Amino acid sequence: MEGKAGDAVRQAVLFTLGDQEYGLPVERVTSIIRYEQPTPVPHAPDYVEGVINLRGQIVPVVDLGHRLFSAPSERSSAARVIVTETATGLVGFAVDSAHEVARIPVSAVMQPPESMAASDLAEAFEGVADHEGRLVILLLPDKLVPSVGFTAADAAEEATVDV
Amino acid sequence: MSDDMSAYKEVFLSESADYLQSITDGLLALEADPNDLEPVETVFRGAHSLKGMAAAMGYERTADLTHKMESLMDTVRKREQAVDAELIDLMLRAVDAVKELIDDESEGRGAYDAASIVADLVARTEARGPLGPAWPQEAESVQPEASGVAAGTGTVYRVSVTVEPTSVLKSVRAYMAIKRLGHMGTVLDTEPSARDIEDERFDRTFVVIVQTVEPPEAIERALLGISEIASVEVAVDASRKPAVRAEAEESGEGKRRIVPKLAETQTVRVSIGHLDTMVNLVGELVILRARLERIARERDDHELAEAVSSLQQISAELQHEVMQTRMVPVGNIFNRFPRMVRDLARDLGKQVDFDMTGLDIEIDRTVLDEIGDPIVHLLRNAVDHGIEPPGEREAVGKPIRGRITLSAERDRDQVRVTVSDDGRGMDVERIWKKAVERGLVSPEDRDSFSDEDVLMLTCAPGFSTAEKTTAVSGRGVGMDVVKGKIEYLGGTVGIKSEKGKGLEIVLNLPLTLAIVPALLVGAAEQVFALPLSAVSEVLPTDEVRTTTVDNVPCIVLRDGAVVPVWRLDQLVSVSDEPRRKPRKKDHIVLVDVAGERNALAVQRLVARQEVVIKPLSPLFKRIRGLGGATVLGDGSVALILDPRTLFERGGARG
Repeated sequence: MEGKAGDAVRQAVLFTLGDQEYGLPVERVTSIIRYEQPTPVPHAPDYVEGVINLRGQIVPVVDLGHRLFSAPSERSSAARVIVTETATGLVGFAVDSAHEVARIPVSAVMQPPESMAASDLAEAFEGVADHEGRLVILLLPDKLVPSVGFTAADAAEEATVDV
Repeated sequence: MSDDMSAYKEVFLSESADYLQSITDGLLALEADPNDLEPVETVFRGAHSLKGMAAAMGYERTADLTHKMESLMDTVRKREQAVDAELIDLMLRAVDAVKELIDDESEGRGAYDAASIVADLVARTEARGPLGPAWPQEAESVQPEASGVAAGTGTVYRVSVTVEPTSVLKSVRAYMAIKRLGHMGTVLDTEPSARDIEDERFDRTFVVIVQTVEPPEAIERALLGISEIASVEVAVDASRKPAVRAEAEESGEGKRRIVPKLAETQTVRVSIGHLDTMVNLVGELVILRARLERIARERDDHELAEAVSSLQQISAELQHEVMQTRMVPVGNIFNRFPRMVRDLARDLGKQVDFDMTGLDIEIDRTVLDEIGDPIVHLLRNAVDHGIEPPGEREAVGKPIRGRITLSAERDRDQVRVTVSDDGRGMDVERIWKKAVERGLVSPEDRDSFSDEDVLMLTCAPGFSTAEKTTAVSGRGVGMDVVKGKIEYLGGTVGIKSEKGKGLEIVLNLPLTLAIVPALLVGAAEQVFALPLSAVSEVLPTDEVRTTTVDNVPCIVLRDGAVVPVWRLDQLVSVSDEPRRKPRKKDHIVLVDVAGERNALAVQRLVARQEVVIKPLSPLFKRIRGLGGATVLGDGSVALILDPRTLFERGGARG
């Protein structure tokens, strides 16, 4: 714990989706790996690319661009998977590139703009911060995946899940 | 807390749980027969040991509470206290308080207040006085404890084992033989000494003295299963008398109680995390082996193929041994049931004798963890709905005390757990009527249902839902949940009942879960694994006739049976188009789950191999049809299909 709020610094793994920079809390990130094609999981939501084998552990991969903007991403050789601990287990977030770990003073974090607060993922946006003259959007990993698990993709299935 | 202390803390937490369990067992034994004071010793020594351990950890309040328990039991031991229901209750409450207090103190909190229970213990301790002739004289003689190693039962055999002359690793073979005998019983001695055998200081033959209940043929078979063992001779060793516990003979017809001794055993405590890691690593090794096999085949390299074949043997042994280490006796979870049954029977005003057998039967920890709840459910049902109130039992001429038995036995690669009672049983015709009312069956089908089939209807979802309202509902409450859980584990459920005489529920469980043989099948460019246990047959499409019944594609088997057929590529796609018939080149995999047959049409049959089941993220738990994932020889991930839920998708809606 830092003594004064003004001194408090948090570290974030910075990555890009399109032209925008984002950050995930570094203490939640367990590894960053080169993107590989996941094995698709039938009936998972569209933004779930599938599962990968991470040193013997099976980890789901979420297309983060798709999750945030509802459009599938294209992958280049710079693409990475940021393996993150969430309240519902390990999740890999596929991103366009991941480049640095930044120290961001807590005092530099501002409320997210209105437009973000209005989206249905509003809870996932922790805030925005100015980092070396660039605007970074900080994300909360727990809110990026449904806490109860994915519901089956097709609407017809919705009615029959659970009792 | 330093690292050292936290390591001690783990040991303390697990050992204290053991002591609390023996105290509970002792108290229940004492309650069952207040005249036999032997369990008092167990309880007294348990409390004493706990006191010392807690004090060493600096848990002063726990030490104080256990000290008070010890003092009270000391007065019982000295016959200054009567053993009555009040005493047992008080001590059981104290056990609960110790559990709370240990949680409290080990977490460094100070929230739990044990003052009232301490006061109660002190008050009862002080209310002592010399007891008169209430204690029968026979109770004087306390059985001498059976000495450490020889505490087992069975016949003592002299087993001489001869290793093949060509063996280069005699000591390893000997080690495996002794280890295997250790699994079957108790190894009492070896000739030459274990040390000499280890150092290979024997010619070709060594002797193991083992005490076991297994027949000589089983010993021979087990040992000949080890490679490089040339011959085995088994003879009864008359020079050593089997050490049978005197009490077991004495009790004869009477109740058999289990009062575990706080004995030292030749075991090491290993954290579950380590074991899981080991199983994972062995799993990885199995995968790597499959990969090497593939490489050897592709390169047509005989030398490599030979090395891989040896690796195969060793990894199979290793896998077997590692799986063995994960095996735990069912007693580990069964031991909490006597207390539960007792409390429940008291609350419901029933009188119940509860027996358990086969506590030392071993089963994989993952399986064991999962079966606790279903068994609790079955026991609750037995006390609540099975056993009649004393008056009712007397009226029908049954002994006033009802009997519930929980037993475990090993049957090849399965463990059979049976819960039986001598209560009112289930009424087949009433269940049939109810099933008809619920629309689960049509009245005219009665002839095609055996009595057991009808009883199994109580496990159908929707059978008992309407009767959740009262505590005196039917026996069926929650049976669908029990069956679901057991089948999820790859087991089966059976029910036998005779109206008015009792009920028997049998759970057949697999010994282990982690590695299963599977059929790898391909559809829609992807490979899936289907557990072989559910596959009854694989047929090329041209050997079966396809047809349509009520717009549902079906296949007609050679014996004329009509089975619905599903295309795997359709099952795993999101489109909602109607079910299509299999393609000409598809293979038909006949899937049988508890008698329900479905045919699965797949584009490719890839291989048959052992797969290591890895859990899928909890994020996928609401998606039906998947049982996990596995890593294939090339490092890619294949999803494991769950044959129990795979065909639910759209099936009923069709």
